[in-house]
Amino acid sequence: MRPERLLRLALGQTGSSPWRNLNLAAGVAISIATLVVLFGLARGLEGTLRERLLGTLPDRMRVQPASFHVGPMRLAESLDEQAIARLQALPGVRAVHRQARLTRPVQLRATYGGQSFWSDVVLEGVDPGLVEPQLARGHSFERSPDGTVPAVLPRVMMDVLAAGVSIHTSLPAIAPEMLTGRHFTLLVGQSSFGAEVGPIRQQRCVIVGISDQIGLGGPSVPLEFLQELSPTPLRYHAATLSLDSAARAPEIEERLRAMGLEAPGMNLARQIDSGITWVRTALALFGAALLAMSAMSLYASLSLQVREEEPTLGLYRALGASRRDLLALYLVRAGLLGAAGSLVGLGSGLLAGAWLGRGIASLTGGAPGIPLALFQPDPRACLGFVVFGIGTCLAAGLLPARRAARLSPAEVLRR
Amino acid sequence: MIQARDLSLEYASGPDRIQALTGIHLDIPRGTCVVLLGPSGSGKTSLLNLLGGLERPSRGTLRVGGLDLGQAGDSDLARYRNRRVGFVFQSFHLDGRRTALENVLLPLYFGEGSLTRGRARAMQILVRVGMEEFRDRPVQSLSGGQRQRVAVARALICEPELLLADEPVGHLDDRTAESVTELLVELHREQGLTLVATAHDERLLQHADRVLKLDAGHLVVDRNAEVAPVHAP
Ligand SMILES: Nc1ncnc2c1ncn2[C@@H]1O[C@H](COP(=O)(O)OP(=O)(O)OP(=O)(O)O)[C@@H](O)[C@H]1O
Ligand SMILES: [Mg+2]
Repeated sequence: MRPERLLRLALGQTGSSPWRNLNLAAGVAISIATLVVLFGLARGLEGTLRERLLGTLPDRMRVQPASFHVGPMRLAESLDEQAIARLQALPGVRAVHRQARLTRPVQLRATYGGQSFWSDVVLEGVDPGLVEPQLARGHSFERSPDGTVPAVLPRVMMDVLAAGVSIHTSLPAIAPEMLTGRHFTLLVGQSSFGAEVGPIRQQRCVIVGISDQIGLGGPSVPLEFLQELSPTPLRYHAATLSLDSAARAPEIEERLRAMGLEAPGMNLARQIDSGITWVRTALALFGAALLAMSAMSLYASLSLQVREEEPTLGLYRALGASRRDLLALYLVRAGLLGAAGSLVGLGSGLLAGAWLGRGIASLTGGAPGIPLALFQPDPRACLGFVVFGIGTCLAAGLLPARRAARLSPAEVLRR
Repeated sequence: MIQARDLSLEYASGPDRIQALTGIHLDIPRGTCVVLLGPSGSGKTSLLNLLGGLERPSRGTLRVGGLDLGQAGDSDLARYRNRRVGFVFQSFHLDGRRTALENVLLPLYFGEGSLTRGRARAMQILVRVGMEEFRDRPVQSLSGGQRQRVAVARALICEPELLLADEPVGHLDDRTAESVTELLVELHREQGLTLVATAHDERLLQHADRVLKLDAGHLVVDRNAEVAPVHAP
């Protein structure tokens, strides 16, 4: 039987009991849409977690001395120049970016929207390579001729600032682009808890970028400037490795452990991985159960339709349909229902997911840590759902189709 | 054209075997009008089903126009039913929700020929069977005689060489039965079709070239209508 004639006949038959078939296709569509929404949200969640917890530069690996905690107490060594040199010598490490904290109180003062703003901060000094990929366009991490020091703000601080501004003031919302190029003043030696003994130094700084690579307690400035402020030689609390490729991370982590160092991001990444794998598996099982239910009702309905249509099928055989034609006819009908259901499900799932994602994002307002793209459908997974939906329907149609093909036309026509 | 040798058909009905036809010997030349008689249960429908490729012989051979129906594969047999045979059933077997024209076009879906040409031919045939004004009416709104005319048109759409009719007028009243019988006989003559029909009454018998009579699955009478009865071997 020619494919286009088969299709026309199948469409005609499917259309002859529209409600029943609409119902079946809707079942498939709901399953597929649910899968698209859930997997899209899971992927958005995963992306959010990874970005917020691990940073946006995947070939980076933060290293710190192994530490142990007793209650609120954290006991850890710091890295010395020797340790840095050994890190630098590791195969697969392109660069080592050192990070140190000033052990003196520092206060940050700025004005925003005509209001003055101040905060106690932890001042960190970093090698320029750490933040360079995240500097705002046209800015550098070098001191300008007039002595202004470049500073990078941690993104978490940005989020907190943005949330504070949006919740507690009527000032315009803060966006990263609005902050770059703005100035603030650091008061080194000044603290809300009382001035340190000794002179207070004022330093004018300019914001040159927002970074997720630096410490969370305050702005980061060039390491050499921090050294100027520090009465003692700097001790590095952490370093970040730039790797030749993200794929080498596990191997390097192994070597770090042997050196008594740890890479906390790696553990976090593993936790996220296993958590996400668990969520994915649970979702896949749930989706499979949903689809299995649609497949079962499809099976039951097609079986019933084959029985009801027996006289027609006997007639088709008498008029020249072969067994293969009838087999194909029911498989095409099952496939059509599957395709229609899957495509409608995909479309409505994408719409519903986008709508849901926007809804959740708007609920949280400008609260920190919630990105706007909570729903991130994976095109390949979506294609997979459609194929899976059609495949399930074909499988469900196979038995009824074979029953139709096996029918004895003479016997049916005799009734 | 039709050649049967020791043709038998057995049905399995649970553990029992029902012998529907036994040892049929038959030669029917092209263009013959054959009427098949016999009491109920004698095997008339069974023989038509064999001739139409709806059943396969349990024993013996049956050849129609060179095709061995017992040996042909399923798709060859399907093609045979589609191209070379037209069926007319006692209970019409039309799709009531479809129009007369759509019913007539149905066999074309299982064939290879052009649908456009088939459509043109369907119009001609509907004119020929006197149904052109009803072609767009759903079949369920037609009378029995009109339905059987549509069924005859459907049987002819693929230009078969063999027309099989199982009690084609069994469900029709006398006047309608008369006209449908006439139609079949005329078509047989015009188109040089081989016609094999079962019938209970005399109407078709008047036009028969050949009369076969079955009894309990045996061919008991095989005579040319004009000449004296000849007993089957
Ligand atoms: N599918 C079947 N299974 C079992 N037995 C069958 C089957 N089809 C027909 N038979 C039996 O085969 C015999 C011949 O049946 P067939 O239908 O050919 O008779 P018939 O001459 O057409 O009768 P009628 O004039 O009533 O239509 C009968 O005894 C019938 O019961
Ligand atoms: Mg019969």
